[in-house]
Amino acid sequence: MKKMNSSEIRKLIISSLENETDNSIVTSELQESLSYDFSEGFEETVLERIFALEPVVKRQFEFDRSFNLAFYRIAFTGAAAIVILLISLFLKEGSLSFDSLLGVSDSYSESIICLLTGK
Amino acid sequence: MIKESYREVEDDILVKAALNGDKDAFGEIVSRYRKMVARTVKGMLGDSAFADDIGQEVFIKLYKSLPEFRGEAKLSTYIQKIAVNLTLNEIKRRKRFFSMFLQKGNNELHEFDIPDNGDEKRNDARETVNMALMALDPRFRIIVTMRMLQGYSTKETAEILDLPLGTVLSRLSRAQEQLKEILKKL
Repeated sequence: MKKMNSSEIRKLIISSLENETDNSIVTSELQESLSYDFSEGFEETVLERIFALEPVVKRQFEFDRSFNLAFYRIAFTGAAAIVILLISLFLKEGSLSFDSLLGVSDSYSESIICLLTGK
Repeated sequence: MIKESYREVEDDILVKAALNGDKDAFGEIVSRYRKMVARTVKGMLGDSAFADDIGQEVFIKLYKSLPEFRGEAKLSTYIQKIAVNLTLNEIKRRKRFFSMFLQKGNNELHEFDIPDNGDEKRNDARETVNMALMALDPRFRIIVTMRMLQGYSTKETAEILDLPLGTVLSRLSRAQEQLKEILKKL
């Protein structure tokens, strides 16, 4: 494919905008003629920068991994404790109402006042 | 130099190898996608010296975020998203920086682009396109870059930019109108 010059490119874009030419044709012409790229030695610079940072990045990966693992362990233990608590509550109180959760399901209001005030 | 054996290897295998610390595998990813990233970054920022730095940042960020890449999207889309975000952040950063020193209305980004004086011959066609793109508002410029320079469909553009399809379509239509006027004046 022959590289287009400035005015050809301009005409191509304008005609594509006016006549709704197939976008893929315009794109391939533009990619060929404009040939955007980074300067020479780009890859080497990127790799040098990355592998100079590598120990820091590796530590970060390891921290993230162990943090996630610790989080899952804590979350699982917590969830298991809640389930056990609910089961024992249900077995003891016979229901899972809010009152039974607070441990006041079989208390009358008078006895609560008595309990709180001591009279 | 990148290992020849990686030339035909698929992206997901390269990602796995790069995660295991294989420098050549990551080098192949850079080599495979550098032009795609250059189109986005240079389409948005112009042929400036900053563009290479942003390009490098894109691949460094990619390397750091590889453990989070689950392969649900294509690697190219994932890289493109990083490139778009970093480029838009750079535009915002420059806008903030220049607005601190210059009066409002006088801080158009293209006026501050440093021309790349490398050994590459000046590409007139590229200069024309860059000038036209730089005259567009960044919100429209990114849509034109994705559609015309990268060849993405409007749906893919919406996905990469995290925008609703309707927004992309309306911005594209306005961008095309503006671009036509700008190119006619050039």
